[in-house]
Amino acid sequence: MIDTNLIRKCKKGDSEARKIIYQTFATKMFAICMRMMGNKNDAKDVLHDGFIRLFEKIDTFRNEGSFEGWARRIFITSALTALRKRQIIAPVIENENTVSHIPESTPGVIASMEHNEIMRFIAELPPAYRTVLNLYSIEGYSHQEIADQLGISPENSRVQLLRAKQKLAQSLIKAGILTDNEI
Amino acid sequence: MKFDDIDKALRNKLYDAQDSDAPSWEEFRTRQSRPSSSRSFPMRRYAAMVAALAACIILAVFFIQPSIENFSPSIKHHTYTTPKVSIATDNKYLAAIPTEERPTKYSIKENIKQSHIGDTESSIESTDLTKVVAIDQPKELPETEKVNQQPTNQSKKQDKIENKNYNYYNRYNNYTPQKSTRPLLAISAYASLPNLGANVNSQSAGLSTLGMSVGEKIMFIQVGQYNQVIAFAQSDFSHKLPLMLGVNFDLDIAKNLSLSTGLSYSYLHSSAQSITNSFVHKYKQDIHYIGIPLAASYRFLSNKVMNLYATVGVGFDFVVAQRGVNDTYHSGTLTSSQNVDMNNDVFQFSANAGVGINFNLTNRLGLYLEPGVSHYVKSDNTPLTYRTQSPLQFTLKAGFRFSW
Repeated sequence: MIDTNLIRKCKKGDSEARKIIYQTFATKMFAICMRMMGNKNDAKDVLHDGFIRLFEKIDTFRNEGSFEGWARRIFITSALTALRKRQIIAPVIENENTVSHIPESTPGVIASMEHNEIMRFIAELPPAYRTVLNLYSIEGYSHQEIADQLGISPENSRVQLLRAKQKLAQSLIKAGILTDNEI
Repeated sequence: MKFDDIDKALRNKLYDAQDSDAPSWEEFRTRQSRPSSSRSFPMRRYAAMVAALAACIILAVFFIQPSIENFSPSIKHHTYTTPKVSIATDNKYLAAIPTEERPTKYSIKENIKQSHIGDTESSIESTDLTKVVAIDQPKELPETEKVNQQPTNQSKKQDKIENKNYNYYNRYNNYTPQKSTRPLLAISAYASLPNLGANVNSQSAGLSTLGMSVGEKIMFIQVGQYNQVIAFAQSDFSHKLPLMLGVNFDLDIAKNLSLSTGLSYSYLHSSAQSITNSFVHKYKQDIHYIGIPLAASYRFLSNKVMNLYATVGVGFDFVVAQRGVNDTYHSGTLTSSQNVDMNNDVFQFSANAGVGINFNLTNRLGLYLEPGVSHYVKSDNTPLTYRTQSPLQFTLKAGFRFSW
């Protein structure tokens, strides 16, 4: 929990306050950047841009709601901007090998995995799938919000989420972590 | 929002996950001090500014050239036929002079060079002129002496010649070559505001009061990696009062007529707001123009205190920088901020006219006010700005003018 005094000092440009905020959130925000970008170099760029934007925009934080939630939005926006600039979110060409169903044991298997391992599989997803999965499943965005952010329809967002999960399940099956009982 | 078990499992595992590979604060500070590529000024903007400046210099040189020729010949253009002044110190010289051309009453002891008036300004010596005039003023000129008595009944032809000579002398005497009171070259710095009023938005301009009127322009911007299209109607826009600053070079090309050119800078800021579903899109754009005005001015009143003039001309404005940002808010929280690619026309043409009054504060410095009217030509691809909102603008220029 960030102290409001710390935020006030940060708004005044206090370097020490900025340092504390950075050190408090850097590891968590870096994990978000890694999930969104899929590689460390891009994630570092987004983290850097995100903190610059955070310190620039901290005046607009009105102490309503969670500071961390507000900061997460900034980093996700930075990640989306970076993805758009790199033009790596392209419509996904359907892979014929994608499984058409998701094994029932998938949630349990995910729950038993280390988060680093899950991150590795998410990083392998096509950027468009990964983005929708991150935004909906982990960050809790609605399909309407995702649609507005990405410029797609809510239905398209739903379809991409389903395919992301199917693709994730397929990767887990290929890695031998998940067993497809219906095959 | 319907979460299934996979979503829950992913969220539980990853929402609060941390990655210890994050750069340290020191690394962040070190990287922050590096110049950011986004802050770099694109070369094409520099190129546009340099081109505008070069065009201005070329125009100035072009117009200055005839002025230099005009300066010294200002005497040459007022050349009078030189009367013949005979030097009669010896009768043998008089014999060589035709009778009708001989001096009638007095001559001058000293040798007076016959200056060809108009060769150069410096060739006219004031002492010479005084002595020449002295021919008809014998009482005041003790140096003169009577040398040749002519019959009292002179011929009409001789009288005519004398009168003619007398007029020439007077004109020479009265002619004192002076620097022209009108400025040959003037530089003015000014600021200009249109409409002398407040900011404009479409509704107050009467374009639309109920939604989108027929023929209303709609601007679409594309944001997001999927090129999401957000529409802003013309009536969604509000435009801040543009400010124009500039420097002009005025050059006199004829009596009361001058040409002017220079450089102007205009800043136009606009904003728009659109609401879709629960999202509020706030769009802001800043456009910077560098312009080259060309104008002709005619002074119809000029005295020591002030000048009144009328001016007509055209303006060529080039976009040197433009920036559009769309901020999306959800429940009052900024959710995204994206730069908008602006593929607008980079050139805008305008026609201008006005009348001005210049108060001469000193010999060289003047304060001028120039109310006028400008019409900005717009195309389908001209960015929505104050100038497209109200193409016909009443403007007021105010500035200082330095003259040489």
